[in-house]
Amino acid sequence: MTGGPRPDPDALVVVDDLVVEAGGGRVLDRVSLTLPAGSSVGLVGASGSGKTTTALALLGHLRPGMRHTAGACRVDGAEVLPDPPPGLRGATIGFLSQDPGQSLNPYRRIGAALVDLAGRRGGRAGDAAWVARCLGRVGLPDDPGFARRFPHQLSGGQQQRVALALALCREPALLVLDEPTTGLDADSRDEVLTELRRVHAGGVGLLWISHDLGVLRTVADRVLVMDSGRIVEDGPTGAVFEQPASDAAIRLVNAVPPTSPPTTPRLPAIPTAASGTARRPPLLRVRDLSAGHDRRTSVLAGVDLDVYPGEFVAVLGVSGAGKTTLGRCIVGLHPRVTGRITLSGEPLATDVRRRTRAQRARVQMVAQDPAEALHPRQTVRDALARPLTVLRGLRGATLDREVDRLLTAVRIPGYADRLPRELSGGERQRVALARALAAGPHILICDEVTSALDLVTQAAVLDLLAEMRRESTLAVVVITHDLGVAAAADRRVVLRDGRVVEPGVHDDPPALLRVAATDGPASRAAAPR
Amino acid sequence: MVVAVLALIAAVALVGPWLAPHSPTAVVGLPYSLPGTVDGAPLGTDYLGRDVLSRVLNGGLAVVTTGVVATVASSLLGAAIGLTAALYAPRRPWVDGVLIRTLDAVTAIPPLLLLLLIVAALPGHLSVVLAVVVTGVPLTARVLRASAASVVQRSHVEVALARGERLPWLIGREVLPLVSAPLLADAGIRFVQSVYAVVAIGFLGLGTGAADWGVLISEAMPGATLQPWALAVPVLIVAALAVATNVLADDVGRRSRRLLA
Repeated sequence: MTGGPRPDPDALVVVDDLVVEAGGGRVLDRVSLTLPAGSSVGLVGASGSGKTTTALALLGHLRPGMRHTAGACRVDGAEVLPDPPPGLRGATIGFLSQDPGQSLNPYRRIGAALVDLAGRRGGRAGDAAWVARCLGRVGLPDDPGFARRFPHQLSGGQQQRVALALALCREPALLVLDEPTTGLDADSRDEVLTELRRVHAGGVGLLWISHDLGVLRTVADRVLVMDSGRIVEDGPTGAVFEQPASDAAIRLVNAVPPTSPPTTPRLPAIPTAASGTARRPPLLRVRDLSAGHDRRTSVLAGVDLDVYPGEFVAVLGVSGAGKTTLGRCIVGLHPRVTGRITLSGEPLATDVRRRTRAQRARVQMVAQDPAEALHPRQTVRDALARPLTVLRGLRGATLDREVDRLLTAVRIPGYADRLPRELSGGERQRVALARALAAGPHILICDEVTSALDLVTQAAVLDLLAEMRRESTLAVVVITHDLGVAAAADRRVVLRDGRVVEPGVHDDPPALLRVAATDGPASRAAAPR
Repeated sequence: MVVAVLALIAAVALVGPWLAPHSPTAVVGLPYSLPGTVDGAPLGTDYLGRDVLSRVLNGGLAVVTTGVVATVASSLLGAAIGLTAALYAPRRPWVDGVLIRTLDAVTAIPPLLLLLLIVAALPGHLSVVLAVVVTGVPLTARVLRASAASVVQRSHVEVALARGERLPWLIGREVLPLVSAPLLADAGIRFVQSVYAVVAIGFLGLGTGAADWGVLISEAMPGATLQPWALAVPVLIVAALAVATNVLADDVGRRSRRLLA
């Protein structure tokens, strides 16, 4: 399957043995692919497999730190690396990114943004008619009032369709779509997909990067599977999904979406020590915890929570229920807190700066967004060395050994000298996890650690957490929207409006489902960190 | 190009005093001689018959060194205050409030008035530096506080806080590297402001009495129609310095932004 397609002189895009390197490793390893004009092709793979790098290479763009070292990438017969010919971006290939907000200027009315991008000099009347045509083409209202709106006056689905109109306004022959529907709720996703199908019917080629195999099944004719910078499988959509040949494809097709409601009695899950430890003293005891942003607004109102050694507790709730605040209170980062927190019987100050070094080391957190989890100018080694020095007093060779051990534990050995920009989202999250483990914690607070990751990477990170718990008495509190993640926990705590909802009731699946039903994919996308 | 202009001006200012053909105070010819009429005075003479070239070469050292010292001092102090305010804003809002309101009070006084007040009260080079720092710090602190507002919410900063890191580490290691682009761009503006301040003080005759470019400009004004070169040369140098610094600061800002992407 790795033979690669034969060069086809009529193809719009021909990539031939393309090699892109970063930090000594190959991000793309002899990638070859051919896209005939007007085709609809899906590009799938775990995070870090090189999907986005491939797509950006078609636009003649490499992210900082990446070098094109061999092979060629030709679009319409012209080399696009290292310098794309003028007019390639926009006029030959359009690009639609995951986050519609990023492609729109918040201070520019959408009609004006379209005119700017197309570089039109047609006079006002002509422009207005042209803008109306552009907007009408993606199923948006074509009246002048709509064109005068600002991006924040549109819904997520409308914003993504405006971004699509921008990508299409110079009549490209190929559209590169990077997760075009990931951030959208179900209704907006259907709207955008309908428009994309119509665009494709009009003769525009599509290259889809997506985690959502369900969508690809319905829209792509052909699917390419990437793994570690190589294209490992290339075939008709049906064939790849029904009979995946490569390991990577099998993993992708078999990855059970953790977001799917547990239909079988997956809850109550793994019986662990926790059920038998109910009479042991809790590791963490939170009593009557209240917190607010200022004098008037209350986020948490009298929360009680016990976590036992080695236990895996999921804290569930809709956006705004106070889940993240609860985590930050336990770590000691939230101001304006009242209540008592004890760890192994020892009272903890609500402000982290009044805790002792040992207390700080014992409570660690991993936050939601892998993009912001790491300091962009610090290598992985520096990120791990600091907690080892400050909290555990390690130096010299012992410190280096411990860094290597941690990286091996989170299964990214040899990554010590990389910078965050050379890591994928899943790899960054592993570094963040290693940084938390470096302190030697007794309890780990994970705030939505998987929500920004694709399914395969999500599963890998969760496996890793399970493994860490097996090897020690580390207690893990996972804050999540995700019923699949919650299903794997020993115990579930549901927060609503800053209060714990009757513990215990939600250990039965239907009740949990009802709680989560108020928390669809739309609010998930809009959830504040 | 921009770097070449700045290097040339820096060279004129720093080694000029040793290259000057005459003493800046020596009378070498008739007053208001045009270029080419007096031997050894290629830019002519001023209103007392002193060599314009020698005076220009001698007048830059004070301007450039005062400007650099004042810029470094005001950027460091402004960054320290701005980033402290940003770090405290989410957790101890009153610290942020006290710092920012104090700076606002300083900003409310017109900068030129403040400048004249300080220079009049405390004579000497250091008073010029102090005056520029006092007027510049609030602006730098404001810019950096705004730039850092989103950086302090990043989880690596929160993790550092949770680790118990102290303020100098938080500012120097976690936040400052991510706001270096606005800091450098701001330092460029601050340098231009400092040079303007030094020149303005000289122009108004409030300086130390040494003939810097500001003094030269003010002396050449009355006779500008008789000997335009005595006015044009220092004016053009100051203008070129300001434009080149701004362009360079923009460029450096863009470059470091790209590094962070």
